[in-house]
Amino acid sequence: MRCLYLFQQLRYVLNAGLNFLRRTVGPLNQATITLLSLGLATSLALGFRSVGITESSIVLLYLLSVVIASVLAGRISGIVASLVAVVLFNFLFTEPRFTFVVSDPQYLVTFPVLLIVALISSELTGRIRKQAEEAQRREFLTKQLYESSRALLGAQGQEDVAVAAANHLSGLIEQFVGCFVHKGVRDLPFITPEELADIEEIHEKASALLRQPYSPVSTKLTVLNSPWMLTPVGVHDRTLAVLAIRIRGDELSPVDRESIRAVVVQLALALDREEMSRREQNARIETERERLRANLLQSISHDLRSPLTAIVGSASAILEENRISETTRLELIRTIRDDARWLTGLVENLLSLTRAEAKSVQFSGNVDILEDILSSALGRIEHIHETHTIEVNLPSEPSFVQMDSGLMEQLILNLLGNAVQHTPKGSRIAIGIRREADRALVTVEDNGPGLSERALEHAFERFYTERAIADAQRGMGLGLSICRSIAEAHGGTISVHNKPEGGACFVVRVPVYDAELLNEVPDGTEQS
Amino acid sequence: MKYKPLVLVVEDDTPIRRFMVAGLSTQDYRVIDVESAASGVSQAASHAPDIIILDLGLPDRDGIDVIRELRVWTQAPIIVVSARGQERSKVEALDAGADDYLTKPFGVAELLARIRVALRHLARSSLGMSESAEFRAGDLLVNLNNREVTMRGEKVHLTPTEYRIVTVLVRYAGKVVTHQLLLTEVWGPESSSETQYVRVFMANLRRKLEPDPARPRYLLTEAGVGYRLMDE
Repeated sequence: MRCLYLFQQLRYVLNAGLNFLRRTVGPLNQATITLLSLGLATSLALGFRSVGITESSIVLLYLLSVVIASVLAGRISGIVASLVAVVLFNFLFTEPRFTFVVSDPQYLVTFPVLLIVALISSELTGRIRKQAEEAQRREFLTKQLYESSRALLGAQGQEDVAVAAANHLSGLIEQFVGCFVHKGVRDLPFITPEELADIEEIHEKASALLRQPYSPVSTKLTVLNSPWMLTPVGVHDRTLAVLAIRIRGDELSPVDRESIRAVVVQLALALDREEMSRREQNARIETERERLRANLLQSISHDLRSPLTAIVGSASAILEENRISETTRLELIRTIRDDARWLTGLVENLLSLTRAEAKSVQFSGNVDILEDILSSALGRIEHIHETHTIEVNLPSEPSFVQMDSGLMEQLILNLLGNAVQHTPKGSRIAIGIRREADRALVTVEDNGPGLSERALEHAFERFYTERAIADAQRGMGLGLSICRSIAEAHGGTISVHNKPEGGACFVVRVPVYDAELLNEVPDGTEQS
Repeated sequence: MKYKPLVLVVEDDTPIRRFMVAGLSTQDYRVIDVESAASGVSQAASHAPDIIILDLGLPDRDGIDVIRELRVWTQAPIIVVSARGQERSKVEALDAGADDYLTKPFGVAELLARIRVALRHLARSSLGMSESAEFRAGDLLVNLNNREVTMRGEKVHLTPTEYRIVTVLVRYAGKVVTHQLLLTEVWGPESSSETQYVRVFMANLRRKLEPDPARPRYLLTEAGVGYRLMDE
């Protein structure tokens, strides 16, 4: 173990040294390196010769210079160095010196052996060098892949993934990198960074590539004198994204190419994963919606029948039965009116439901005053005063809320209706508005029996009903769930709790519209 | 013999038309009822009704269009009938020249009340009567001569703008006044389109004038459309 560790340490040190050498020597060209190492060997050899060291050692010196040349400058340089070394050795050190003539026949063995040894060692060192380079390249690639995948894993949703990929790649290759990716179902792509959308040629070309079936071929184009590369990212035949890379200088370096390839692979995987999870989620939502729709239909048809039966029955009784007393007749007519009113409420609620779920009011509603809507709602349910005491608490400052006024009114009506329905006659219902930081709160409290444990948990679920107290009332467990839909469509929440002193308290929280407007309201001129 | 005002009812749904006719005939009104916009316009031209009840959802023509056409040659009050949730089309109808609106479903009492208000305004303007110096509704009294507003005999202190709003509402008493109309009348036609101003002032005004906010009685809010000062 320890041995292995030491070995690794050693390899690390060697690698670092080699890298350092290569980095400092790198800029020099291969010929210079070869010349330098041969020159160094020659001058050393001349020195050695003058102190009487024999030619066999000089041969070794030349061999060393060949190895150095092939390590630092590659295989070709090694071969060239081998040939030059033999020639130099012949010219400078063998008798007669400074000629290419050889007097001693033993050199006829020395030269070829020197040449062969030099060639073999340069070949071997060249190969080792290449392997080391390959290993390093692989290590670099693995690291790149790992880092890109880590950068992309942290992102959620297509757009985040695109941003992460562009930023990551831009950091790696130190170039401007943008990314085009599909956005939802619409035709327009999501573009990061945003300013890329302003470069028309790129915008157009990249959008076109995004719509085309995937092919791994990059497109080059020149915009404002700088070259760009558009690289599609895809799986099978689907193009998932297009990377837009500005190329500084003439060409991308091999390292940059590798970086780009790594990011492209990871980006494709990440986007594919995103798309799959989104599709799964859509399927789940669709199933849930289907289920709700079926429930809703069932529940409505059931709840429509009872008031309709009452209306038809009462009307036919009045028409066909002429011995009916005046009091009974009036009662029947009142039933017709009340049930028709109930049906109206049901229809309003169903319409509200579809409207609340179809859109987010936050971005489409007008700005209105919550107190106005409360007042309007109260005006619509005059009959509430016949059975209950209503108390209203308004703040001194009006609360502006971006809203769909019809839906908001429905929410208040439903909460009041719910309170009436679940409290005995003569109960007190308090409705109030107050502020809490950037939220406006609508509270509806009563002094009735409160909600059961189960009801507290399920109150806002569709089709959940508790037995109403007033037995003439019908409930289909829609009102409060619609309240929730409406509150959420306004970017708000709804909750319910039992008050310690008894009775239920419903709280709706919705975001307040920019309150600065209030300060800008101009008051009229003086009263003349 | 007393003059009986002529009411033209334009409504395509037969049961609704029937109950409106029934409700109006028992009162002192003469009624013509038609079921399409085309015959509505021609009947209006040939009979010159005192008041027109117009359903906004007619099958043959856009109701707003019909109002614009009628307004070219008649000043007869137009009351539009529309469903709840169509606040935008109500505002459009009022802007196009309608005088008031009824939201379905409505009762006979509500219909008659709207007609009475409309006829009262018509009588006042056609006789060239100046606005009376005093407006009274329940416990609310507005004296336009000495610029005084009292509630149950007690003076209510209003800011100049609030008072101006009150005078506009009094002028249109009983009828709905849209946010935009209030804005133009109080702040002038040059004012910005920010109807928020109006709402803030109305909120304050209501606090001063409504004795019981749980039962708004004088300044009614018509959600999404505007306000109505009750006068009966």
